[in-house]
Amino acid sequence: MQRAVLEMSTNWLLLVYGLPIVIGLLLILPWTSAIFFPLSERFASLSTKRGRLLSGLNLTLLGGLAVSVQTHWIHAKVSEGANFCASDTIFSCDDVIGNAQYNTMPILDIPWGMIGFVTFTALLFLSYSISKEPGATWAKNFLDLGTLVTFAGLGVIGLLVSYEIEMEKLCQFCTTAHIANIVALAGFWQLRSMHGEKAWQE
Amino acid sequence: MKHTYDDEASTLGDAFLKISALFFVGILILAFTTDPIATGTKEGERAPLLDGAAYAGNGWSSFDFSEQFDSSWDGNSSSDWVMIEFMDTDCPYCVQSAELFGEASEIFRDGNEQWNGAQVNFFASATELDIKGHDTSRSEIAAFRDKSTGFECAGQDCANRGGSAHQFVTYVDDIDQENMDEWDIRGTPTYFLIQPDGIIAWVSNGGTNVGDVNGDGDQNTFIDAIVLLVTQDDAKGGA
Repeated sequence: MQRAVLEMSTNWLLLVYGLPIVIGLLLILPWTSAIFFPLSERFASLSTKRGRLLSGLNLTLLGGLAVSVQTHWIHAKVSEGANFCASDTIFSCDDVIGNAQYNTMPILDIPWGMIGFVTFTALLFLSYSISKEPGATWAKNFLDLGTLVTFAGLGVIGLLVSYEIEMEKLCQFCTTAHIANIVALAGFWQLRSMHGEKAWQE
Repeated sequence: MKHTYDDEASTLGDAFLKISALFFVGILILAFTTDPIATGTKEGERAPLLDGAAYAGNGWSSFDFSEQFDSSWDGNSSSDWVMIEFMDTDCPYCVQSAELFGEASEIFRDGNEQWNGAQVNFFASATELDIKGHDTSRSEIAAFRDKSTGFECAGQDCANRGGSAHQFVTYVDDIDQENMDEWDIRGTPTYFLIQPDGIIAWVSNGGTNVGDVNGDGDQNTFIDAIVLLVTQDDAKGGA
């Protein structure tokens, strides 16, 4: 009974974290602008491509930040000896996050959840600043930096997925954070390509 | 006097404040809702994993050290404790200690009516120290455990070491020193007593079988540590 409740609350939490990332993805995808057109009267930023991309990026990074806090929270709870999402199936974030051999960054020994938390916070600062002042002189540098950091994130994702394959377990919360990074890379990439062009000035 | 306002700097400052606030909310949530325990080899820390094939008398096989622990342990005497010795079959001090270690593994068991406490499962992580003459193998580790002949342990036949065969001790192959490094072992033998929830209760001084159990400055053996720290059930009678 307790396990069923835990599994249900885990799924609900994943939904809460996944929702802004899915909406962010829809805003970033080039062929979904029609979906958000009716909302552009209510939210003026959605009327331009730049506005949609930045809104999508902000939402995605917010989701990534929140789910990273959650993974670090799970890390701390597992270290206390508690169970959060332990399971005999392949989906067992406790087994992945609680694995002392793989749950911290090599050399620095910092939990991966904390790395994600700090990284998504920094990325959100970049994205939010650009959305507030798209014409700023530093906007291009921020876009370059955001693209670089999210691109480097692919390497980290590759490493963490290799750990999961070795453990034969999958951490749903970590995967949600990985997806947020990939969506954010797509957002930064598109914005970087747009910068300086006519569409950016609209 | 003309004032120049930098709107771009204002935007950055504003964004920084808002995102920093979000960051600190996250930190506060973590700080107020969790009390993490570091993984390490000091008393009070969560024991690292013990990797490698294991030998308990019936051939070498892989084993999962984490199965020894019960994260929901509430202090009762029905959950097993763990005693680990980090040793080398060619280390003279480990050979000297083998008799006591074997006896302890026979005493602190559920089946022993003289012991009224929780069962203690005994492990020995056998390495090969980087010292001339310290050449070991799985066969030698097995010979040390089983007290069988044909292999040399610290200058004598393994069958001639003190005590009886370690039938209740599981030996783990750490010839590659991976566990030694992970556990930060500075000398052999070194002993760890671990609670059923995986938290280290006691560590001996590096290279010895003694250490301070209760902070009074006295040096206690690993047997004292078990007697003083392992949960005991009064209803079972005295030790």
